[in-house]
Amino acid sequence: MRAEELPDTELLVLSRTRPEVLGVVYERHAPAVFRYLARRIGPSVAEDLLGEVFAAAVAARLRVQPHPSGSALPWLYGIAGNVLRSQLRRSPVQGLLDDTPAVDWDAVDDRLDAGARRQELQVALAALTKAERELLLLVAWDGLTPTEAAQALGLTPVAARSRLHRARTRAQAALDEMTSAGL
Amino acid sequence: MDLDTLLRETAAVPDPSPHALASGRTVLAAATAASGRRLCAIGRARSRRTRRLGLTAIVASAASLVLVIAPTVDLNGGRPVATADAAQVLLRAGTAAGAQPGGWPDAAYWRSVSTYHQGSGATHRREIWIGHHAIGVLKDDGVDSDVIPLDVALFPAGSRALSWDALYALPTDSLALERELRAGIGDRPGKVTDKDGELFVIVGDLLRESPAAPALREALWEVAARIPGVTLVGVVADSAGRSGVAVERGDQRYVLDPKDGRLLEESEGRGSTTVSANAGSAPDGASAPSVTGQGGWISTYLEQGPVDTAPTATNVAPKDKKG
Repeated sequence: MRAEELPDTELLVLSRTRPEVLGVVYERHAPAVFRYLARRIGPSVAEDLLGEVFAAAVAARLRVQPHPSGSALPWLYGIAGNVLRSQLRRSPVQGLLDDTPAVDWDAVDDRLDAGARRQELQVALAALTKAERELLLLVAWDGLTPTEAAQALGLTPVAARSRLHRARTRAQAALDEMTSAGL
Repeated sequence: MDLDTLLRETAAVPDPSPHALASGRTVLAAATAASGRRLCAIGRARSRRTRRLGLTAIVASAASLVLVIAPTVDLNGGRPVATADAAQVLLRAGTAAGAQPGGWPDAAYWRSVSTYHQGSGATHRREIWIGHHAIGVLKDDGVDSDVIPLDVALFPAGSRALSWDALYALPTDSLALERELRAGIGDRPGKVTDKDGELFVIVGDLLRESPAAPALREALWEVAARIPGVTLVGVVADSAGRSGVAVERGDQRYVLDPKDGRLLEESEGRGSTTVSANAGSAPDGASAPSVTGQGGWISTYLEQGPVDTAPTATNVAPKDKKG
């Protein structure tokens, strides 16, 4: 079987001794990792960070435990989050909700059609803790299942589901309050 | 506003441009190449530090050495060469290596047992079966608790990687060998500023965990004897307590057995060795080398030879040659 035909789980195991197979992982998942980065920090910086994420993956591959879902994305998003944090420490940007790399609002503003969406998103996410925010966005923006997002964030699946439920409830309540206030 | 709708609408981003993907691919390829070299040569990470060692290598005085020391050893048409005493040691090691029995052009595997440690980390045992035609395997508790499958044998030589058969096709005339190895350095992508240092590293690359025939080992040590900047450290005890003679260039050090020309140990970066004043005698008073800091490493080669079979790696799929 060719490397291109192997599932992510086997590629990650194989990468411990054959790091070049991460090239297959790259071809498979680089667009998704790019979009993860672009949603949070904008497409321009995301272009610069894409290779950095995969270079970090080369170093981290000896510690990877493939997720039961079979996808390498939870692992890659976890690494991408770390790279994003490092980038924001190096080049702080205006408009961050806090010191976690959930969202660079200027970048979000640039890519959203109208300022109204930006305001709604900011209100919804501001109601959440840092950890809840990252979890919600991994699921809603990046398409992970709650258990996959749990791996990316180092949580248990049960804790992730519980936290996600609370986050969704609070974010929706914040939106409702905003609507009823006529903002 | 419904939360799901909001999140869906704000998730849309453009796909990466072809340029962004190509750029990321290049960064990954560089990281992979560096990592691959490290895996193939764990314990001998080839960082290109240019600074000299912080330690003071106490070189035994010429007068106290039993070794015959000529005022100059010029084997290279007037070019500066390794210091005279280092060159003598290397030439003697080459002669001794060339006198050994053997030559394994048709062996199935080359098995080598070594220990290594990096920085202040733990010492790991490494046992490798390098496959002539079949895949090789590695047992290395510093990498994995399972048996690890490897590629079919490839021996690094500058920009090239030599197969087992190509290793046996190398010239055993040391001048011809040096020309060929230096040509390989010239082909290497990126700028190699210290070509002599690179050649010194290649000598080690082709001697360690390698089925190189005695004639090639002799030629390799002779090549090393002509490399400018190689100096004699003196008699040392390696990490296994064996007596050997150390030569170094920059922070790359080889400890060899002058009796048979074997490479006993090598280190890079922050190797610290106390040197006995009586070269050629038992290493009384010589202490085992140590490495401090995260950058340095020591590999100690305990045994090696041809074998017919290798363990089977069962933990992951074997290498697919098409992939």
